[in-house]
Amino acid sequence: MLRYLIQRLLLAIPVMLGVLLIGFLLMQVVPTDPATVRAGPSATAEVVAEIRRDLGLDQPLTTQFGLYLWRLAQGDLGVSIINNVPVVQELGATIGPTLELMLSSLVWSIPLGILLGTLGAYYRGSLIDRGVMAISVAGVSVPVFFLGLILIWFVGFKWQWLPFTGRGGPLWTLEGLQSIALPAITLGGVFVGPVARMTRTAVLDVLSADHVRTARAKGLSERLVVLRHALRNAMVPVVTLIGLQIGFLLGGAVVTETVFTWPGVGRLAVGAITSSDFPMAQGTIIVLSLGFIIVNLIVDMLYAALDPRMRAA
Amino acid sequence: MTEALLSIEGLRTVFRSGMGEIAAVDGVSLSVPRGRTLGIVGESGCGKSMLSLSVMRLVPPPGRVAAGRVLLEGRDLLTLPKAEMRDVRGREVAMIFQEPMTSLNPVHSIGDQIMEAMRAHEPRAGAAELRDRAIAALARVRIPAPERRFTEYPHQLSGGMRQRVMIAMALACSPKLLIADEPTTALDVTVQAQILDLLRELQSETGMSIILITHDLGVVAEMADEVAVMYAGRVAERGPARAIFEDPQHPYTLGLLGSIPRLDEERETLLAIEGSVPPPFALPPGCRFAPRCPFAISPCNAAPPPLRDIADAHEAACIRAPIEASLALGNAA
Repeated sequence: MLRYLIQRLLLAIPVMLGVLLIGFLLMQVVPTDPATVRAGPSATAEVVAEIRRDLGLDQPLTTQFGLYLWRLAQGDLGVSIINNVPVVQELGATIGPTLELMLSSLVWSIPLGILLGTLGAYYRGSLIDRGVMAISVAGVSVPVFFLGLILIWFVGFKWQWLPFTGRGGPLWTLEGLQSIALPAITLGGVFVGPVARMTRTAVLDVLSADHVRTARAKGLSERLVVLRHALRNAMVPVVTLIGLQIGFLLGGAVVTETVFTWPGVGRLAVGAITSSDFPMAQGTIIVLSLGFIIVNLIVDMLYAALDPRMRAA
Repeated sequence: MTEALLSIEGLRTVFRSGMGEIAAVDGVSLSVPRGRTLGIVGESGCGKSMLSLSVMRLVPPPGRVAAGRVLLEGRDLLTLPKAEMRDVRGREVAMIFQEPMTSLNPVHSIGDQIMEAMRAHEPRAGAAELRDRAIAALARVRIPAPERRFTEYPHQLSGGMRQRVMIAMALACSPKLLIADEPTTALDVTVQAQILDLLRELQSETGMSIILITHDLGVVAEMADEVAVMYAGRVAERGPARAIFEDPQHPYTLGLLGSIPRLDEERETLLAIEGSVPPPFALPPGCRFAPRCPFAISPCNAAPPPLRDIADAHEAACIRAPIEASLALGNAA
């Protein structure tokens, strides 16, 4: 088990390096010159050249990347070229609200998806099943921004039930809960469909397995058969899907945060990219990728917990 | 004849399909004596597995039991409320299956799966007691180092060991009847013999009855006291094992016996039954075996033949039985 964990951790290193390299190169191919951005519209050519030297932009790419990694290793992600604030500081302030949003989206959407999928599989072909399928198809098809806009228009603007801009405070305050409700419903809403669909397929598959027949032949109640024998075994593919979908969730977080002006990493990323704030954009890419890698590590750990056959591997 | 523990009367199990209702089991009546073994033999698709699942009321949808009674000590299992039937499963009638590889849940430990069977029927038993009993159950099926096996998972065990675990689980609540559906088909020959020995020993220890479902006549000859031969959803012949093997009366049984290789006879080729089992949606109107039967005469195609007494407790569903007498009259085909 420990060996498995270490193996996975070691595998994450090259992935992270790849992310850093691609993030770095992406910033190079953008046609905007950071030195010009920083110098402002009225700067002379000499000033721009001086800034370029200061930022190390006159060095060869490999040197620049090496320098970048060296600074990164020391926890230095540079400063924003727009307002001189250290990137680490901005990230530190936005990472909390993003985690908050992610968790409050997942905490209701995953259980709901699993519940719907299980009901659909158990009552296969019935009205319940068809209802579940309709919900999940709708959930898969509706884009995040659209759901967000609809919620803003009706719940936030027309009926004025809940606030729809910004973060009212930490999660444990009433204002915090009110302000996170709509973003969390939006972001979680697109997650219910895929989870329900995958759960339904996986549970259906397990329900026809020989060992489920054995469980029934032992005289177990249907509740135990479904929970301990069907759902428990179906969790492996469902967890896989959730791990894969986390990538989409991160993308969805960027959109949701923008739509609801939620002060998270996603909105920071959008702001940094549109204003050509390269160090800031790179910083947000690192944080989001790191999130993805960590979630997948957790998923790998869950496999081992869910399926004893994985533990030996 | 000993008192019957289980009697099946006129059981009919059907599946709804695009071509209408298909009867997998069609009017089968059988009985299982106390403490004895009934062997049910037949080719794949003859309905023997559906028969056993019907007794357990575990026929997978869209199948259902359409008619008949399954009397366990006089109580009709088919009309029991669901909760009572659940209590019968595992406690009074237990079942083991053909595929020990897939019949155990891969994600729960052996011990948990055995304890779960016990807990289902004795919800008040303590954890320590269940654990001790589960280990004892593993020891009873001659699993070495049962304490260690208790914490292991199915994938860590061989096929024979898994079937032993299945048996331990089935016997955990001391059922009166064990239904073994092809228990040794997926196993090596040597392991097969061990499992059959084990079943026989456990039967003499506990006095339970066994329904042994198999396509292997050798297994039946070794294990069964009574034999029922099934063909296309019906019983073709039934009686004491000795009578079936020494004096088979149904042409289908004759054919099955003729297709076993034997060491004590010199034969160039094995006898095979011509043709194949009719598909369930295109059954002949009369005797279902008639199209393949070398002894068939025109009345065979008129109506399905009922089971008739041939000798003491020996019945065959053939209008030409006893065959020797028919042959002596010189009107064989």
